[in-house]
Amino acid sequence: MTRFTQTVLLILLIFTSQLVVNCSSDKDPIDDIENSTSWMDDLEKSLGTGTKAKLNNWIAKGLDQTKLKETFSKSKDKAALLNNLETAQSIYHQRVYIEDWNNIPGIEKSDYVPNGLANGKNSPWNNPDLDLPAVEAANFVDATATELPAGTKIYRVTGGNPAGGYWTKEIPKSVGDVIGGTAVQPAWNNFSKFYRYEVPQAKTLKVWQGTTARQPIAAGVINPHLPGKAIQLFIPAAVRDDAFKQLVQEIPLPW
Amino acid sequence: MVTIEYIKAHYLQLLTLLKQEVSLNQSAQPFLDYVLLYENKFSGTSTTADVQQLREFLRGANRFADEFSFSDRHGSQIRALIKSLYHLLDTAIS
Repeated sequence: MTRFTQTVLLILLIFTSQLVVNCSSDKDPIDDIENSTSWMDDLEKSLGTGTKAKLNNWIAKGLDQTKLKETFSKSKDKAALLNNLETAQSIYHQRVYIEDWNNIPGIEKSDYVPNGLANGKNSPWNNPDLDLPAVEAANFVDATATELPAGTKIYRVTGGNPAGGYWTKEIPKSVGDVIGGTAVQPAWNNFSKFYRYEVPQAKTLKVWQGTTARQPIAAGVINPHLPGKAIQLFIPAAVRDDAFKQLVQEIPLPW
Repeated sequence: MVTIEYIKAHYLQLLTLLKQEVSLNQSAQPFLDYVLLYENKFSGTSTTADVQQLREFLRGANRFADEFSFSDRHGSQIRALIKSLYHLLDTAIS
């Protein structure tokens, strides 16, 4: 046997032994690749053309592929799940649907127990329109009627009504501060815009101020929950007149 | 005494008002959809536990309502109905 033949035989031996190792392994890399997308192909067939592209797009934007796959696998109504994911307010809302709690900031992984006020409060301003109704009081652990002096800046994160009732005096540092600290369910808000209002000179702003109460993370979910704890403001509708609305300004998101 | 029928009637009144709002203001559709989520529960309510669940839902719905700019025609009525429905649920529990 020549040296050349010996070398060729040796190479062949190494190659075939590697082949044996690969074939005997539990996980074939080719199978892995096929499995990683075969569930999407199945959904494409059952839910229609474009489904796979939507799933891939959401995964590219940060939705966890494993959780997504698991949720579709368990779902009894895959079309409804797809629709929920399509109409979700934001990626945080999508994560609620796939129960990817590890990637929703600000939440607390324990059972929800209501801690809001049981009753409404009368305002000291002798005007029932400025009272704190029970349905709003339930969003506070404690609430005090106060007048914010001229120059006070208040802030609100929303994708909807810029001049709504709920605000904070502090600028939130992250979306987790909004979701967790002010107990805003991802189903309610897409966290896309940031607004500021400054109390004008020679004026005050009548508000209710207090600690945010807990909220469920979604209707019917007990654990995890939104802990609240941040100081929030509620501005009665009677205070949010046209003059108020005109002074609400959109500013860049703080994160 | 607050009866379950009275609560259901209030809820249906809220739905009617929201449907009228959506016909004027399409942006309110997600809020109507949200309130409709509990339609069956409002229809089938019989126990105190059910009422507590409805009260919790309505509290969330009210918080969600804060994200919407309802029309001048219906806005104050929608807020007032949510407020009074919550009060009814509260009274039914206590």
